[in-house]
Order: sequence, then C-alpha cells, then structure tokens
Amino acid sequence: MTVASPRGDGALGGSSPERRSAGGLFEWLIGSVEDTAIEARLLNAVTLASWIASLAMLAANILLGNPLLQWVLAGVAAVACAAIYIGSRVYGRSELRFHFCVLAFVLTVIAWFSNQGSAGGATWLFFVLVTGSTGLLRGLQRRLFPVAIGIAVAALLALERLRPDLLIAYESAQQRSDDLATMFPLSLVVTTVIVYFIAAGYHNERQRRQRYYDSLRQDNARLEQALREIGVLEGLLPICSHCKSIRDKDGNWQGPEVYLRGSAPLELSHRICPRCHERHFAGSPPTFP
Amino acid sequence: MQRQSTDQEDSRSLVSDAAEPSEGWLAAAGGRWARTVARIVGDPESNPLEVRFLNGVSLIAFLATAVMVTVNLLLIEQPWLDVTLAALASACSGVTYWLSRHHGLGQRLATPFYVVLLGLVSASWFSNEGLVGSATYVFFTLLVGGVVLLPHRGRLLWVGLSLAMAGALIVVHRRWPELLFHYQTPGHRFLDVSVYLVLCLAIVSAIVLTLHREHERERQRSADLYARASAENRKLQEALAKIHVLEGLLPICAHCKSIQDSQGRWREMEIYLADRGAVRLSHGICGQCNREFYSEFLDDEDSGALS
Repeated sequence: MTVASPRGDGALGGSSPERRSAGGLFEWLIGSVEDTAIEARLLNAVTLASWIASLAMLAANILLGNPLLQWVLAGVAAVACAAIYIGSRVYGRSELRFHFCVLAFVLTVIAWFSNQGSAGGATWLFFVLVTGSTGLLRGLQRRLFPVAIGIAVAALLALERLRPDLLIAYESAQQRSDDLATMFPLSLVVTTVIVYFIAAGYHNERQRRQRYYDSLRQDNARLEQALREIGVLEGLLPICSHCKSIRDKDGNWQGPEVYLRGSAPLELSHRICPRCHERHFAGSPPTFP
Repeated sequence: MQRQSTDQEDSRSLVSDAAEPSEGWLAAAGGRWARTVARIVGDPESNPLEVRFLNGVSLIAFLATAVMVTVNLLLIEQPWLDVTLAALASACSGVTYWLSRHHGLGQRLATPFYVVLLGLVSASWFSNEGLVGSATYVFFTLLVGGVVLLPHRGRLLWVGLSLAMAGALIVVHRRWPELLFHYQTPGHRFLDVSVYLVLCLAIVSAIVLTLHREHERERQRSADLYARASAENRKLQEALAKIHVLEGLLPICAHCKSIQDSQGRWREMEIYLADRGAVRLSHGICGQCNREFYSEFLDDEDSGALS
C-alpha cells in the first residue's frame, strides 16, 4: 500500500487538459506548468500585464496631451516592466520580483506627487501594491514590504501637510473626476482579484490536506480490517502433546484443523506424510499422493 | 464539523513540532503575541480561519468606529449622518464579535455581517463626498475582508455585488453630485482621508499577511502529515515482510498433523506454527487424550484435561 504524494493532484501543480488546449499562447508567454515555478509564472504574468498597461497609459497620455512628466513616467514604467519580464521569462531570474516590487513602489510614489497627493487617484494604488507585493515576495521581504509601504504613506501624508506646493495639482476638476472614476474601480478590481487568488491558494492547500488526511484514515481502517481478518496467531497456545488439539480462548479443545481454519483464512487438505505412511501403510502404495 | 474535528486531531500531535525554538526575546515576544491574539480571536486549533478573521475584523471595526464616534462627538462637528453610521457600524460589529467569539455563531454570521457593512459603507459614501472621501478606502477593506470572511458558497456573488455597488456609487458621484455631503473644509477632508488611508492599509496588510501565514502553515502541515504517513507506511511494510501469513491451502497429515511447507518438507505442526508468527506453543494434554492414555490416574468426576 503506497501513500500518494500530497502534491499529486494540486491545483497549482497540475494542469487540466482544457486549460492546456485553451492557453497555448498564455503558456508561451508566462511559462508552462512543467518547467516554470509558480512564483516565476506569477511574476511573468504580472510584469507582462504591467508592461501592456504602461504601454496603454503611454498611448493614452500622448493622445490626451497630458503633462510631460506623465509621459516620461509611463515610458519608464514600460521599459522597466519589459526588462524585468524578459529577465524573468527568458533568463529565468525570478529573484527580480523584489526589483519589480520596488519599481512599482517608486512609480506609485511618483504618481502620488503627480496626481495631487491624497486628493488624487494614486492613493488606491497603494492597496494594489500591498496585496500584490505580498503575493510576489517571500519570507521576511513579504512581511516587511507592507510595513515599508505604511511608513511611506504616513511620510507622504506628513509631507503633503507641510509642503503642499510639492504636489502637482490636476489641471481641471473634470480631469480629476475622470482620473478618480477610472483609478478607483480599476484598483478595487485588481486588489480583489489578487486577494481572491491568494485566498484560493490557501483553500486549495487546505482541501488537499483534508482529502489526503481522509484517504490516510481510510487506508488505516482498511489495514486494521485486514489485520483482523488475517488473524495472526499470537501468544502462548496450549497444544495437546498427543493429538495436537489446541485449546481456544473459551477453554475448548479443538482439533488443529478446526482451530487453524477459525483463526486464519486457510483451508487444510488432508494427506499422509511419508513417516506416517511408513508406519501405518507399510507395503502398500500411498492412498493420498 | 467533520473538518474541524479532524483538524483538531492531527494538529494536537503537531503542536510540539510547531513550537518554534525559543531564540531570545524576539521569539518570546512572538509567542506572547500569538497567545494574546489567540485569546482575542480564538484558538487556531479549534476555530477555522474564517471565524478567526471574523472575530478580528469585527473587533477592530468595533474599536475603530467607537473611537471615531467619540472623536466626532467631542471634537469635530461632523454631519449627523456620518456619526449615526459610525455608531451603527460600531454596534453591529460589537454584537457580531460577541456572538461569534462567545456563542460560536461565527460561520453563520459572516454573510449578514458583510451585507450590513456593505450597506453602511455605501451610505457613508454619501456622507463622505463619494470618490473624493474616505469611503473608497473602506471599500478596499470590505472587499479584501469579504474574500476571506465569506463562506465559499455565495462568495463570488457577494464580492461581485460589492464591486457593482462601487460602480453604481461612482455613477452617482458623476451624475448626481448634489446628493453627496461635502466636507466642510479641505483640512477636514485631509484629516479624514489620512486616518482612513493609513487604517485601511494596515487592516488590508494584516488580513493578507495572515492569509499568507496560514497558507504556509497549511503547507507545512501537509508536509508533516506526509512525512509521518510515509514513516508509518515504511514500518508497516517492514512488519508485513516479517509476518509469514498463514493462508491458502495447507497439506496436513491426517495422522500426525504435520504440515507440508512451501518447500515440500513435512514439518511438525508446532515447528510450522512457531515459524509463522509470534506464536509459542505450550504442551499440555487435552481431555480426550488424558482419558485415553492416562485413565488409570484419573478420579471419576474429573473432566480429565491437564493443561
């Protein structure tokens, strides 16, 4: 009876056939399940999505005629995301996820200044940053990054109070309203999706352990049943020196055939052994071969 | 129920492994912190994660809103709607915490609690100048909390509804801005937004980090369970190899009861049995043989068995 690996049928580890057929391009872009670790695939997906988003932002900034700073920011973001994506996907450098988090952090802080601080749409990006970075990072980095973000936000708020002139205000109320109405739902949906995935990972792991635990219990029950059925002969058995009868637990003497049949799954077939044959049937051929 | 009890069972034996080696004050402080948290939100071994989250979130919501109501009443002249909403949220969170922590109603209360909070946050959208105000941050906390708190069945529905609600409120802000209460001064707005931004960021970080930690713990438990099961499996295999199971068709001599083993040798029954299993035989004389062979030594009423 072999124990199945608990990671055998994992949602993160396995790939369902329909996903494989649907996601040929997707797998090519972020790496296939077989040869790419989950962290690396996550980083590939996030950097690729950020790359596309920053390119779209760059285009939008050019089309809307936004200030030069916003063009430059979107352009820098696009180049950096592309670099990290290629580093991770092509060269397998998954430790770049820390660099990516720092990049996102710096860009969000710059966006804070360029979008009128606490009155703008950059505030919500910090929620995306907190949830996303904990998903990408591991260990101590994961725990310290949100703390760093919290300190940075407090510092930014204090700075806004002391030096409001450092912030770049929106050009018009309409522009501000447009920005807020886009950034809020976008950040909210992205944050929710990130947390949804994190929670799904936890629930999968939990269910997997539960299934594994249940199967172990079933195995155990089967083993115990089997042990009972085998009825191993143990202990000190009283046996008659003459007729080989054995005394059972209730004190009854039974012929060995009866006792053995009762305590083990076996059948006995009667023969005559050569010595008895010699002694009892000397001269005539054996009755039982 | 089933899940909870099995959790308890296998975690009991893992408790000793889970205790981290105490290395200085940091570990000691961590242990104290974990015990305090366990006292407030419930013991991790007997309370599912969802219930502990509900306890923690409802307690934090209760304390935060209670402080806010006090501050609002004493210091700042807020619109009445804001104070009423905060007081309602405070009462609702307090009752939820009490019922969940002390009456074990956590799993049933999660959805109603979430729905009430969604209603209150949506109402506070109007009192806090919509997109510009602090209700937006509370939406993040609400959704992140909801993903973790809500029971699996209906989670997607409620999260989707909350997102739709946020969308509808944005439309309200854009189309009917006159419905919203405005902040009295920019300074007031800044204060409100700052407090909520930092608070909500902290709550969201705490929820997400706890989720990650629980995930790691769960993974560790799976690994432990696997290691233990493999070790036991190996022991069983070894034990099985030692047991020479008595089964099948055994040729037995009709006269002397010798048994023919698999190599074809006729072995006396005592030897055969002693080789196969942990059995030892003690020789006695059964009643029939006693009467047959030793009748001259027996009293009349004796049953005849010697053992």
